[in-house]
Amino acid sequence: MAESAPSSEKPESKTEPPLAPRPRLRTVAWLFARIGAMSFGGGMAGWYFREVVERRRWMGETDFLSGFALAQILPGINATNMLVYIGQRLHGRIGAAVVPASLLFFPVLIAMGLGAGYAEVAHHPWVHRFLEGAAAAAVGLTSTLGFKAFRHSTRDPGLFVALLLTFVCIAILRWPMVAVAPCTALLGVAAAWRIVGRVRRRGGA
Amino acid sequence: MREDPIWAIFAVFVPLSFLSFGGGSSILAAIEHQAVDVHHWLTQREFIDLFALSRAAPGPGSMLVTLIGWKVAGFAGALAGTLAIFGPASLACYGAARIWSRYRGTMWHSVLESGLIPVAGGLTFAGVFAVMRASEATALDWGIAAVSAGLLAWSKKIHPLLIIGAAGTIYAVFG
Repeated sequence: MAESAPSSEKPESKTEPPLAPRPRLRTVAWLFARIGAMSFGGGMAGWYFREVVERRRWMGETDFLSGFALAQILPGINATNMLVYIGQRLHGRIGAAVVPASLLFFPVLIAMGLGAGYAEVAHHPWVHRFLEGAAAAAVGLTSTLGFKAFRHSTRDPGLFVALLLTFVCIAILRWPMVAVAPCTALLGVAAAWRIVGRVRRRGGA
Repeated sequence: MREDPIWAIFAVFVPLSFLSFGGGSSILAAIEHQAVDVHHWLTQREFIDLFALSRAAPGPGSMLVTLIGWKVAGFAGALAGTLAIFGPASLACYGAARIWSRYRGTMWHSVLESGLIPVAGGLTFAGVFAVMRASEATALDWGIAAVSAGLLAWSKKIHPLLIIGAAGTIYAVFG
């Protein structure tokens, strides 16, 4: 695996800080177990992005965001697909199994351990209201990831149009994601290809 | 009619795992139909309780299937449900991630990577929009989301749990 072939033609921003050394498997497992225990109200991808990319630099922004797009386009529950992707990137086959298992560990334990009695608690109006607030804040957490992708996309009109179309077609026109995302991905890739061509022509050393 | 519940769990959830695109919520109605109407694993009321439980506990909402498995066949059922809903699609995703990683460092890989980022952005905002619409979000919800996003972008040191917990508490006490 050519991990870090330095390529001057990379169409990504050069402002990203360097990556941290690869973490140990148990460090990764423990981080995801903690995220599992803390992530009230959803916003899973936002948690992963903040902890893995922004705070620990275990993965780069482009690596994470492109994996996120793949995890959504592929069939399956995307929160779990993303965990498989992160696990695979950090620790190969074992990582791909350990990361989703670690994340699910505490939530399942909490839900089962508290059992039937907890169902009553879960219907309590206070709990409902708490979760409503938590979910709203979690939406804010998720959107930080969107803003990062937005910033990457403002560098080129083609990329920006791809982002806008993805949003409008799915959120406003309510077209199925499975049909929209591959098309806008093609558009994005075409735009990225043009950027590379431009850099080359300039002889970007 | 007697059926082995473990195999029934696999037979129901493995196909559903491939039908799920985007959030797990796209297959929620199908899960309910299979568990309540077809297999009579749970009553309607029990399903709603488990759904509420999966939302109230931290973690992804899709662990609802783990809880259904647990209700049907105890620990083995929980394991079966989890493997059935996450396993097959995860294997496919693992294969894709492996191939994807193998070409890291090549030109076309970084071009594809860069071209996928706008899609990630569009999907994220579409997801935010869908969540807010489904919960019939009020102006206050949007405000809390904006403040939360602003604070988190402003400082990497702020712990998300602090903001999520604070927002939840505000709603619980004053809501």
